[in-house]
Amino acid sequence: MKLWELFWAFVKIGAQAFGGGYTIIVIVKSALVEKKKWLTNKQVIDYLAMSSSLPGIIAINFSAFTGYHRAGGLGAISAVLGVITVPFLIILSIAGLITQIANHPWLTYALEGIQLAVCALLLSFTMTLMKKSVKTMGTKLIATATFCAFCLFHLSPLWPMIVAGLIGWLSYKYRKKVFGS
Amino acid sequence: MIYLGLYVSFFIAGTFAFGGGFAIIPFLNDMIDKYHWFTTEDLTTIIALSELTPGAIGVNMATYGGFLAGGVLGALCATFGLITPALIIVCMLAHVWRKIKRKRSVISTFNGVKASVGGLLFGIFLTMILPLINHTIISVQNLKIIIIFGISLALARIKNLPVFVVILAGAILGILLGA
Repeated sequence: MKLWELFWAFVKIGAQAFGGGYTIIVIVKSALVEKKKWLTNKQVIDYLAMSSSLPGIIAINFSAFTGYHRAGGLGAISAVLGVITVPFLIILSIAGLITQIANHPWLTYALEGIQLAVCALLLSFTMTLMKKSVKTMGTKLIATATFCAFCLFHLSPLWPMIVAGLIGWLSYKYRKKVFGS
Repeated sequence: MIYLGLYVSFFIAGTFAFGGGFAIIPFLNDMIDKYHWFTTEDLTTIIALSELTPGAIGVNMATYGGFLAGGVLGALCATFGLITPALIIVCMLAHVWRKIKRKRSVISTFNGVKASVGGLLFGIFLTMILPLINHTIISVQNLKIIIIFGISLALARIKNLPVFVVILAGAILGILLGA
């Protein structure tokens, strides 16, 4: 019963969460803090900080933390399944439609504009990430080296990431302060 | 076995997505090179559709990408692959992460990884935008590109502006300047 309640609460949250990530927090605050009183404001901030510091999708991590807090491992699964249900169904129903209308001339022009808008979003996201995480000499070197490696060889993103993580860890271990805190 | 491949590939993407939904884009790009599950043009559609529909962008990208690769079952496998590591990590670390995340060794390691994600994303940005640019540098086509890209970037930099506004603006400008 508790699991079903958790699942259903997150189905509703998932349906409203446009733009994902941090918008989900606003909805969680009104639904789970104010109405249901499952969480306190402080817990929301705490879980958000934990979710964004872990790898993975922030909204999913956050749902998992909240579900875990309510009902353990099964609670985490219920909350995560709940939050993906509506977006999943919406995308599948639109996906079929897109291929049908893709040849309309207006849509071709619109898609050209959308391609550029997506490029702009990607660059903007990269700029924000760089501003936050690439400040020291060491991280600047890693970012540049990864960029060059990506352009020269089409390697899997996994290797530069693992190597970069390793360099970050080693730089801590040997206390060279190039990576900042 | 494409379904197992989708599950495993998105499981890896979910494990190494540092810094939010866009961080799985390098992995999608890798799937294009390795498995040809979708094309570079599809990648734009995947990102745009994921922004326009409700839900977390990263999960939406997995759902649509999985659908393009292997239909409804493909979408299911990709989506479950992406969320599985999050569930494992959270259930394992729910009690201890609060303490661990302040350890300097962890911060230093994650900073290294995030820096490389920045480099990767900038590379992917170039591979996405370069094919759109006309070879004759001074041309009407390139002027249109500069206008649409400039306005989109300016909108994208506005804090708290919903992302779908940027995509809608791109679509409208595309129609206005294209037709």
